[in-house]
Amino acid sequence: MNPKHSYAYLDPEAKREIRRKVLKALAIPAYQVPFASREMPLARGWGTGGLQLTLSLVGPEDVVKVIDQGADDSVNAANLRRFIAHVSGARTTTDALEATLIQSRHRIPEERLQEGQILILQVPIPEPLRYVEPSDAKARELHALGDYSLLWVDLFEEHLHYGHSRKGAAYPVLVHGRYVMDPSPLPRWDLPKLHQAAHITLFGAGREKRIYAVPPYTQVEPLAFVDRPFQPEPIVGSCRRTGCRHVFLNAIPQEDGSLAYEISDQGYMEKLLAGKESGPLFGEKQHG
Amino acid sequence: MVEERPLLELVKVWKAYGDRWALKNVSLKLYPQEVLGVVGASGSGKSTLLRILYLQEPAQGEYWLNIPGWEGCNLLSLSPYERPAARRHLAMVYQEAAQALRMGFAALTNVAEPLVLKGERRFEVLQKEAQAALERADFPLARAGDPPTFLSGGERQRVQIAKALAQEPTAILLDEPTTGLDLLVQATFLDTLRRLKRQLGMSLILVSHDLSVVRALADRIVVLHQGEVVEEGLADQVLEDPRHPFTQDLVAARL
Repeated sequence: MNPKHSYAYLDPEAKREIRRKVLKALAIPAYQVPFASREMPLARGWGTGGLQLTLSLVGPEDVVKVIDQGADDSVNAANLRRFIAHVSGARTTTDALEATLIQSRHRIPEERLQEGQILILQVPIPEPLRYVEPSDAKARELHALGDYSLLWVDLFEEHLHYGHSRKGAAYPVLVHGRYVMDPSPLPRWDLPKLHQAAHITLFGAGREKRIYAVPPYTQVEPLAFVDRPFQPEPIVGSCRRTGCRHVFLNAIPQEDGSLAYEISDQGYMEKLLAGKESGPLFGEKQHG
Repeated sequence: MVEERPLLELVKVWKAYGDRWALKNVSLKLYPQEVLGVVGASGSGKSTLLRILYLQEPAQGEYWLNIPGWEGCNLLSLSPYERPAARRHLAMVYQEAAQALRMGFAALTNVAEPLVLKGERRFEVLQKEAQAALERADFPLARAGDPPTFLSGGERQRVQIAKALAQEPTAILLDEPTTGLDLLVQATFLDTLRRLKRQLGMSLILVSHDLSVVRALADRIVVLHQGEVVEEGLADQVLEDPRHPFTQDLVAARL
């Protein structure tokens, strides 16, 4: 590495700012902390928020895993991984349990993350009230008042018309009994993994200049009526490579118009295919 | 009725926009189970008065709500963060339904909203209570799933009334609720309001420029003129025997 350049791309002041904002975000679970999102060598909307978090936290001893839709080898993930490794000198992996930093878009790995691991999510829209209250100023006021009735009204409307919520990603969750958080773009399947998790989850929205976090062992409850409990997506089909149906599957359109399914978490699937022992899953209850 | 303690009371309220006074020393009382009519021409301060009553605007003076938990608390001195709690005891019905309703959400959802705000988290209960409120407001239940965008003017006003009923407020504020409706719809809507007043003993503040609407509902009337209360009294008395020249003009203009 060229010593004229700052370690891990960002200059020390930028990293220090982001680390301070991360500490604040951890201290106030799910509260959206504004930060000065820097220009990055990739377009906003492609994971600049997550990348800035990763680069502020990474050190040469870290082991980094980058996934996109659960896959380690998609273009976005491959680019980000190469960049992070290049500017930090950190080792990379596809094993979720080996990684100290996991930058992800869309998914939380299926294997249960441990204390000391940090999951960093790239967030497109950090504001859970965006679709029900277009004004950010008003939305902030509602957060301050803890008034989330708009989200409940929205949920009521969905149950009234469809009998269930149709939200896949961006299903609002109440964190630590105080702030409602947009866990976007996680699927409903992954939300229970946030509840009382051992690892740290950081959310970075580069375009919207917000950082928020779920500290370890924190209450995370999806909003749901008492008599209409929250339900993750049902698993349809089974993985075409492993035959599994106990984890989140990707639907892959086939030429004949049918759908094939494959495990979404690629690192986990690789372990299964190689016959390696995998760690305990988050949703161990659903296992058998 | 007059010996009773008023439910809601404004005392010497002043409100200025820049250097122009919109309300000058306005006092009024609303007694339990009473309909108070507020009449006046455009620009007389009716809308300002309603916004202050609904705690949407600050003003100088005193505003008391004599219900448990709020005695001795001047609502005009509340901070913006304390106001929503007080506002839950008041419901507002607007001339334009779009001001109160979420036009894209089902009528039923709109009515369920105040219940959600109160903390009800059981879907079935919300649905049942919202339906009951719509029924009380004579809203055709077959259309409960339709959003207000697809409803007629009269039906929208009924949704607003149902929403207000579901909230079980101390008082309902009505801002020209029948303006813009045709006469037949106005008449049936007023019938509903009269029935509700009789059955539920609601306390209403009705603001209107239409004296026939006020006559049909109000027990007492307050006449506003250029931001001042110029006349106050029993509805029949004020309408039959107006004292102030402005009220006389207003009553004469009705013909």
